[in-house]
Amino acid sequence: MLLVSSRYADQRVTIDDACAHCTDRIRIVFEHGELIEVTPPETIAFRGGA
Amino acid sequence: MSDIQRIVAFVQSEWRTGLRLTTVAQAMSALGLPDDDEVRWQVGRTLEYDWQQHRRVSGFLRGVPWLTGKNLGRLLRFLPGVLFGFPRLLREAREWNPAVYILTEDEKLIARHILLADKAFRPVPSAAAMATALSLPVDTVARGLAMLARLDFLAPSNGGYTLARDHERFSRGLGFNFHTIALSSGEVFNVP
Repeated sequence: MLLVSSRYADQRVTIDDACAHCTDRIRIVFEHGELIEVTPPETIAFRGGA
Repeated sequence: MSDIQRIVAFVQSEWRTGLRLTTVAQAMSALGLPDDDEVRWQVGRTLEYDWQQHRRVSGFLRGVPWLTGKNLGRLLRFLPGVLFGFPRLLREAREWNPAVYILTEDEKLIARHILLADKAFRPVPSAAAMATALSLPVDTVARGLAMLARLDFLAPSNGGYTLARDHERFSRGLGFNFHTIALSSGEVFNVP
C-alpha cells in the first residue's frame, strides 16, 4: 500500500485481495494516493508509512 | 521465440524488479495471449525446471571439497545468482511453491475454500457448491480443480477429489494468498 502514494501516486490503483478467514473478496481503490473505495465497506484498511 | 519462452522471459523480468510477483496468467494477458491452462502449466514447469537446474549448480559449487573451510565456498554459493541474475524475490518465489505463479487468483480461492472445508472436517466440496460459495462459473471451478490436481494439491477420488496427503507443503511462503495490483495504465501484477 506504500506504493500507491509513492511509485504509483499518479495512477488509479486497484488492489484485489481476499479475507484470510472466509475467502470473501476484498477490493481497495486508490486515486492519486487517496483511498476512494473499499469493498466490502466493513473492511478495515490500515494506512501507514509516508 | 516460442510463446512459452516469451512468457517465461516476461515473468522473470517482472520478478527481477523486486516488487512484482507477476503470475503466469497475468504475463499471458499482458502479452496478449489467450487464456490457456496447458500453456500456463507448461510455463510453470519450465520455470520450475529452470530453478531446479540453478539449485543443482549451487549445490555442486557448495560441495566442491577443495573449497571447504574457505570463504571462496561462500562466495561461490551465490555465484550462479550473480552470473545468471537471480535477485532475492526471484529466489524466494521459487523457494515457495509453483502454486504462487501457476495458479490464477480464482484457483487460489478454490484451494483456500477447500482448506477451510478440511479445517471443519468436511470433504472437498463439489464444483457446483464451490461455484455458488465463491461466485464463480462451474466451469471455472472444474478447470481450477483439475489444475490443483495437476499440482498434486488434490488427488482424484471416487469421481471427485480429496486433499493430497502432503498438501500442507503448499502453505509455504505465500501459500494461496495473493495481493493483486491493477494500475490505470493497464498493468496487472501481484505483490508478495
